Amino acid sequence: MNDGGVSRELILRNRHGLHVRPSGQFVTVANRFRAEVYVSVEDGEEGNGKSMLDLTARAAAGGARIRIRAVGPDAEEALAALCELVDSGFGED
Amino acid sequence: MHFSKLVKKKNIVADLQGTEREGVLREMLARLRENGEMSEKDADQIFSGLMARERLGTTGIGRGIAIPHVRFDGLKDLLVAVGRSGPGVDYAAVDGGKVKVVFLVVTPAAKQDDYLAVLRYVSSIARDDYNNKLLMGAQTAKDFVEIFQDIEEND
Repeated sequence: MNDGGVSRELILRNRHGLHVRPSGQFVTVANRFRAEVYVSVEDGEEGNGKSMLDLTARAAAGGARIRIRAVGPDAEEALAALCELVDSGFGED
Repeated sequence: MHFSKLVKKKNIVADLQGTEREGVLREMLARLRENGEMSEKDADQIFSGLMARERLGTTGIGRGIAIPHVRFDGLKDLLVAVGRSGPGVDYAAVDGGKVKVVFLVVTPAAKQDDYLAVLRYVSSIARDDYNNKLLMGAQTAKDFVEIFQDIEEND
């Protein structure tokens, strides 16, 4: 497993999981930062957290455990912003 | 997943005439109605739901592919239709490109996991250079059926 940068594991709180709209929101936030962002679902292969298709190809279900990893100068800020988005449930349910 | 079994050949519209999102969704629903997959009333409700969903954010996920979807409890099982436009459709896709292949998905609430499986499948094809090229080159319903079967066999 890659373990550079900063990372955090969290549970998807929204009922429907990381489907199209939440993935779009995630990518939008991730792209505000210079840091590289990686996402894995239930210890699977990491995908690019700035790529819509990498996220929707994983389509984590509601309740799934995901790991977000950020690498770069503003990695801490990127990780905090993305965790806040996930914990907010993407504004649904 | 057995995607080739999930999509009926008759529900593949290989010659979409519309050039924008609303028109092609209507065309695809008209086909589903003709094929007896849903009533006219259901089709109207599904169309409204699809458009409401698009207004929240495009389902044009990039690389020529869109996956408009809606939850609808009037059907028992997941229903998937495929549409193909030669010149491409203006879809406000995330990558700014035109959409050539549309996967329309209607999901009963109890089948959310099946929808996520379809989303994973469609995204994986979109992302894969080889499969994406195959999909973009498909011209007939038969082409699509063969591509879906090939992808399953090589999976």
